[in-house]
Amino acid sequence: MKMFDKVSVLILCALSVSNAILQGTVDIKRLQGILEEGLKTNDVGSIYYSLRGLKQLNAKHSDVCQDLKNTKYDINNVEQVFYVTNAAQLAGCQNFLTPDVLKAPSQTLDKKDATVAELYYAVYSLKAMGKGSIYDKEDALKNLIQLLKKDDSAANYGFVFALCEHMGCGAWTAQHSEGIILSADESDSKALHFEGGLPVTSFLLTSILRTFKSLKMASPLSEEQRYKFAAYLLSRRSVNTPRGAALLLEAAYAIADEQPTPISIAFKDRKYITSEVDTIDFTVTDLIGRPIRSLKPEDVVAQSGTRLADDVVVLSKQPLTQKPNEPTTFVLNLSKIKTQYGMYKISLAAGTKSANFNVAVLGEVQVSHIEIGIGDADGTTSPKLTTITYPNKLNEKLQADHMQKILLKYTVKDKWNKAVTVQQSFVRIAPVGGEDEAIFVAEPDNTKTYKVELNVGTLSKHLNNLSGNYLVSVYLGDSAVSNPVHWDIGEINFNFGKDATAIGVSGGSTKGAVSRGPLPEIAHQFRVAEPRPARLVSDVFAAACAAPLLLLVVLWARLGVNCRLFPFTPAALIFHLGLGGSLSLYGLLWLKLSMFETLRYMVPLAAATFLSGHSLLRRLVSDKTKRV
Amino acid sequence: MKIYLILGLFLCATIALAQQDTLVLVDNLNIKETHSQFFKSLQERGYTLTFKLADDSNLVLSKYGEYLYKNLIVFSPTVVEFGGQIDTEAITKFIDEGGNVLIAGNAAASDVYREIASENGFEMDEESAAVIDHFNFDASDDGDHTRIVVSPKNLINAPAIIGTQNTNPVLFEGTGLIIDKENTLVLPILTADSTAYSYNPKNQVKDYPHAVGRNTVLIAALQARNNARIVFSGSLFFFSDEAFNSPVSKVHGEKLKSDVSGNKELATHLSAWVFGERGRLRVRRVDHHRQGDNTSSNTYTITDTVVYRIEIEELKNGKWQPFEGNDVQLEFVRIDPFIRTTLQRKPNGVYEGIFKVPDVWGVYQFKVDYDRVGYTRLYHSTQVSVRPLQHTQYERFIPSAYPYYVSAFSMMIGVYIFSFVFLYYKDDSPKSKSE
Repeated sequence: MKMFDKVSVLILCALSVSNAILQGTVDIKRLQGILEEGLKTNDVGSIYYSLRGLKQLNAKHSDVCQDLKNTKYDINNVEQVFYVTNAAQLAGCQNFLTPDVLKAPSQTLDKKDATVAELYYAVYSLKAMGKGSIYDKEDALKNLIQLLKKDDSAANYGFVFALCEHMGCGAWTAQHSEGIILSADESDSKALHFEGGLPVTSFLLTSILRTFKSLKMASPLSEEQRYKFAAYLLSRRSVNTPRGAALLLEAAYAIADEQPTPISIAFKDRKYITSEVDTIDFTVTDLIGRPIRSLKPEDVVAQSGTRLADDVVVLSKQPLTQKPNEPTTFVLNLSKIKTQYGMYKISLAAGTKSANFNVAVLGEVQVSHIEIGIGDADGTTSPKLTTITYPNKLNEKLQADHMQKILLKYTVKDKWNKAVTVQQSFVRIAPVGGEDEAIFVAEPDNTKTYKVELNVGTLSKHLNNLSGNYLVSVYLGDSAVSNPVHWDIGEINFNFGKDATAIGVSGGSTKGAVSRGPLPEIAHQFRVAEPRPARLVSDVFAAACAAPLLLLVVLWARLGVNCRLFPFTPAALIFHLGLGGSLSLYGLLWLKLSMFETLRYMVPLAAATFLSGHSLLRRLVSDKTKRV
Repeated sequence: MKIYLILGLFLCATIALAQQDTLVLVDNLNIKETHSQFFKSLQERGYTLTFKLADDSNLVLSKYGEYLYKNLIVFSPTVVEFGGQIDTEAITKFIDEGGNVLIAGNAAASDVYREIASENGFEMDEESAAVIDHFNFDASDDGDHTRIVVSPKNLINAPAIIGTQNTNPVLFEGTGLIIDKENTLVLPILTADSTAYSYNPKNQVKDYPHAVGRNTVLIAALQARNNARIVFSGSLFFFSDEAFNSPVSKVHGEKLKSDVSGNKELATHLSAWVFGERGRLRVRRVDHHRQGDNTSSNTYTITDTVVYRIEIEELKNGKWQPFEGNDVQLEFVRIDPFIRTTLQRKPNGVYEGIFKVPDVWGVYQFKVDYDRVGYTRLYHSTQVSVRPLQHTQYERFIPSAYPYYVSAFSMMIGVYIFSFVFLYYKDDSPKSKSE
């Protein structure tokens, strides 16, 4: 609870102190790289902004006149014409352009419903080609004010201010700029910017400051506003388009050229000290990394330094020393606190402004040895402790079952063998070669000895109830520790009792209740055909069944049967053909006909057979009676 | 026909357009600039981004029951309560009706974030807790070891979500998430190393941290059953220009170094997945018939050999293209599956299965249920009936039955011959008498 109080106090402190000094500078080198890349594209906008940015830097660039001539742009789009003409002006090659590029700007000026942006593009296109000043000042300003009434966005004010520079109505700009600056949006009460982001902010700032300079008036920006705009520009330093880079550069130069210029302090490279190096380098510059002439070296002072963990003040009013030959680098010597690990808050002041920096005092920690032992969970026997020295491993594999517990004990010491506590002091237990893990927090006692007691029975549910070999490791880390320790102590074989399964045996794992991968294939088990007798047996029996008929025929032949009574009449022929037909039809039914087809054939056949049979039989009977 | 095609194409185009409407909720419009590369990549891919302050009192997601946006991006960790008609309930409803959501928070994220997270099956760590890793932090870290370097090995193995070319380590600074491993709809996209934990960096570790080691999920995703997708990142910094451009160099341990972080690549892939540009499947055509036949049938006889073909398409680069997978399975189901077979991949996204209908008759379904990590769930079923053999379809000449056949026919032949002998036999006995 005490701890918590302190933290909340700290948080309050951090909130109340506003970081007046900027922390960081605009990286000119990087932006120049972006601009140089931008020249190689064939987008007119990129080329224009690259040229504009490079001009701001006074950097040399390759000849782009030929490229400009070859780039494709829409001659009817006044914005693109503006890019082309102004790029040509910046590169000094207006002659490369044909005069009809100015058709669109001229038309725009004649247009009734042109927007402020279009007017700006048109006027500056004409100006770039040396054809400006056809603009009636008083009337024009009135028109522009009318347009502003329709849409009074910050961007439009920017265009009007820029047009005013050309028309010479700087006084009007001076009159209105204060209101515009006041209308800037504030984010987190740290940074100021205009609606529309970097382009509008940069455009307004540069044109307002330029106008004031040309009118030889004092800057309209208060010191606080200057810092806040600068803070916004710093938040945008990660731009990566030529347009963003050029606009950022212009705005940064404009702010940096103001006097007194916003001061920026940043870490030069390291943010920490160790026992070997006990100084920290800061760079004290303006927004774009130039030394500040108005600042006396002895004004750069570390006002105070407090330890974050317990709010103890460790230094106050310690001046920084300027490095010889490097007017921007100031060195803070922290040898006083290098033995006390932790995070410190240093408040640096340059002149009247100050800012807080978090500095880490890093130290090495060491664990000389760990005691590990296994005892009964109910505490009947005290565990026998084995001592392992860093960085060795356990000699033998330990065995533990679900009735036992594991005990780990170790002390973390600093370089001077003093026991310390660290933020992260974890014990990890993971199956050898497996993906799962269970991590436990070791807590220090009064003597700063870390101790972990793990009941093997309760451990099992963290490890999916899988018995087997587990690797035990210790992790020690802290934000103020320069050498986090990862030490694999050794292996323990856990036996979680009879409910557990062994590692690697499938089905033992409880996770992944529903699988989303392919499912096992299923094949249908077809019904097996019933067993049948051998072919030979059925053939023999078939022959046996055919035997009576053959026997009949043979016997009849021996007896000498005859059919002498056969009357050669149509009725007899039809009857026997019909009878034979009926019997064959039965065979056909068996082979291929359906029952209904068979019946259809059968009906006429049966009728004919019946009638002819009737007459045949009658005749046979009458013949017989005649004969008798 | 042509007109229909053109109309269809037009319809597709408008649907595609409608899918790109995205609402971006931010804390302040500055985020638009600090995260410009991410937003730019979205705009280049055709999304219309509408930026609104998260506490804007005119926020609406839907009008007259119609959603104005298909996708929602919430990049506003400090918002305490959303403005207008948006709240946790509205966002949940939006997801229930198929909307996609990308949320990024940080260590200072408010309880609204926790509510949204728990509605989606994640749990976000307490306020001011951040993921700390004393072993894997970047050189640009501020001293708390919260700007951690995560190796691409810790990414989920699902190319459909994260693409195939994530080789650079990524930078992460934010809070940790906890997910329930039993919930298969929730996916841990990026997890921390064993050495990481989520805790307030200013405090000594007193209680057991909520997320420790590999259980600390940095970026989690959910694909709901209605195929709505949610990506929840514990870090807003992850999507920033600073993270996209900054070089990575780990301070301790194995030298993970890279000129540029893998954040841009991963963020682009994740956004493409969450807004449904990738990993979407659909069935184009299904066809089944008896082997040897050309026409489809909805009745099969037991033990028929059936050919089943399904054509599956995947959305790639805005176009539906043949899907290439090799684990599409077909089930032939009558209450329980009787057959489950892996379909053979043929050209043009056609998958073919040839199998013999079981010898049990009834009403069956051909079922393709393709549910893989990163893809929308593909489900298609067709009902067919399987009937027993007709009486003419049984086996006709059984060798074992030859005795019966022979008996029957020999009797018939016998009757026929006997009929002659019986009717026309002329007794020679009077002759013998005369003899």
